[in-house]
Amino acid sequence: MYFKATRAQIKLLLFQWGALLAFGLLLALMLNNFVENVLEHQGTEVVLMYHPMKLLSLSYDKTNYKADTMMLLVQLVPLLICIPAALSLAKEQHTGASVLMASRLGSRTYLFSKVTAVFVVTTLVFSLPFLLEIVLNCVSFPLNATGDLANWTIYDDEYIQTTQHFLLYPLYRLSPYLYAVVETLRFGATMGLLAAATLTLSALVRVKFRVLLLLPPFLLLQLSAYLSQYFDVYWANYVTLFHGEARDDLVFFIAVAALLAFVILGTLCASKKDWRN
Amino acid sequence: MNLRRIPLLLYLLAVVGFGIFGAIHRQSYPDITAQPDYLNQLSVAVLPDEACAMASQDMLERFPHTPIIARVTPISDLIPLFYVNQQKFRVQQVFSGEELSVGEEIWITDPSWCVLVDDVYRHFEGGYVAPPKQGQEYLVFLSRKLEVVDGWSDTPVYQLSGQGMISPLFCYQDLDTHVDTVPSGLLDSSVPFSEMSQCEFMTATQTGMDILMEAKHALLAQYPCEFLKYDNGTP
Repeated sequence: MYFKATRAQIKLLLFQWGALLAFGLLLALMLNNFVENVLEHQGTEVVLMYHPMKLLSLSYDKTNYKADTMMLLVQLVPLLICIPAALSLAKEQHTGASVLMASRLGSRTYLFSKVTAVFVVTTLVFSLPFLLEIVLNCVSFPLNATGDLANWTIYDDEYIQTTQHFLLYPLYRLSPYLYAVVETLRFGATMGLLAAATLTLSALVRVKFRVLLLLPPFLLLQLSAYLSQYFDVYWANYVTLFHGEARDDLVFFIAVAALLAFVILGTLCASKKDWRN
Repeated sequence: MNLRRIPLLLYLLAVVGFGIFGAIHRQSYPDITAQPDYLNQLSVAVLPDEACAMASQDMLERFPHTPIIARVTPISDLIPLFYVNQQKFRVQQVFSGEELSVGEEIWITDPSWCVLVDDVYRHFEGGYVAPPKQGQEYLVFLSRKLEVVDGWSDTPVYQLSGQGMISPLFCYQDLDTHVDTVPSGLLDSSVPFSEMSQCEFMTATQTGMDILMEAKHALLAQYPCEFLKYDNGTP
């Protein structure tokens, strides 16, 4: 019942205007970065060309060369997290559809399937444009290019130190392409988790105006940006690719664990509420 | 058709369209290093006489103090990478340093080795020495083993000592020591590599070449090759 309900909700949420809009915006950002790369680097000797994966929109390494895409991303992403699917429960509560669904499925199945669907849809919306960019870069740039955008050679001490700080460094060492795919999915999943947490909050706390639900993840990410002047907690440092500056990766795992615990426990708590009111 | 499918169709068309755009531009990336004898299309800097005198002093005073000194033979051509070149060697004899063992295969690189090619500049940096040729024996002075974070390779990488103006890599056999080509202008210290490719050192004048050859012979005499005979320090 849970899997059927989840599948049905995913199908429903994927084709909502919110998901299409968010996907379109991220796709536009990605295509802008892609075209910029193609036009900027055309005609470069292969031996002096940058690695295709380091030119991605989510690549922190690219900020050594040009940071406009990354600047747009860090401003846009906190606003977009809830747009694809996280407001769906609040919408169903407003229309009364949640009462019907909860009585048909049981409130626990309904909520857990809803949370899972929101996580999956948001993950897809946030990772698919950048996965497509990986494919586009493989098609458009020489695959034997190996350059780093900081113009370090592979034997420079700074390059070695920076690379060893990548979150999944052994995976990068095995294959930069596989690393890019996995890290892009991790980026999407992190946004998915934030969206799921927002949905859980909307299950626990009824809000009159759905737009207010955009605030919690936005404020959380902005808070991390503000606190980054005192602590190493800036969210973009933990979800971007090829980030080689010193970080405390434990912060990221604790945050993910805390969000996951909130989603699971919060959904359990919310499922005990009376959904007829 | 469901209205919501239209944006999806547009997105798909956009991605495919841009993919075709990118694939067309992929043809624009030249690879000069894929051509045989590509170095002959590049220029190389040459050392003026004053610098040759300083370099010869470095050779005799500093190089013997490097941690790893060995006789090696190249087993690959020069491999160009992003702003660095490397070449594979087999260790034939170890004069100092415990890191190397005879018969071991190693990569050798130097921060000054690279190929620079763009719209204006077509240049080869080789530390003012001729690129090592397979079949020859070389005396090398290495500073340290380098860490590698790209890929997994069993072959260790070593860096040449950076203590001198020229790369500390000397052929036991004398190569061409005649300097025929001089730089064209006061501000231009480059000559076509094709005209220096057989030369031992990249020097501006014959005087500079003679200074470096004398220093090289004195250095080689300190680390003789067990298979070569010497006549007053000359192999």
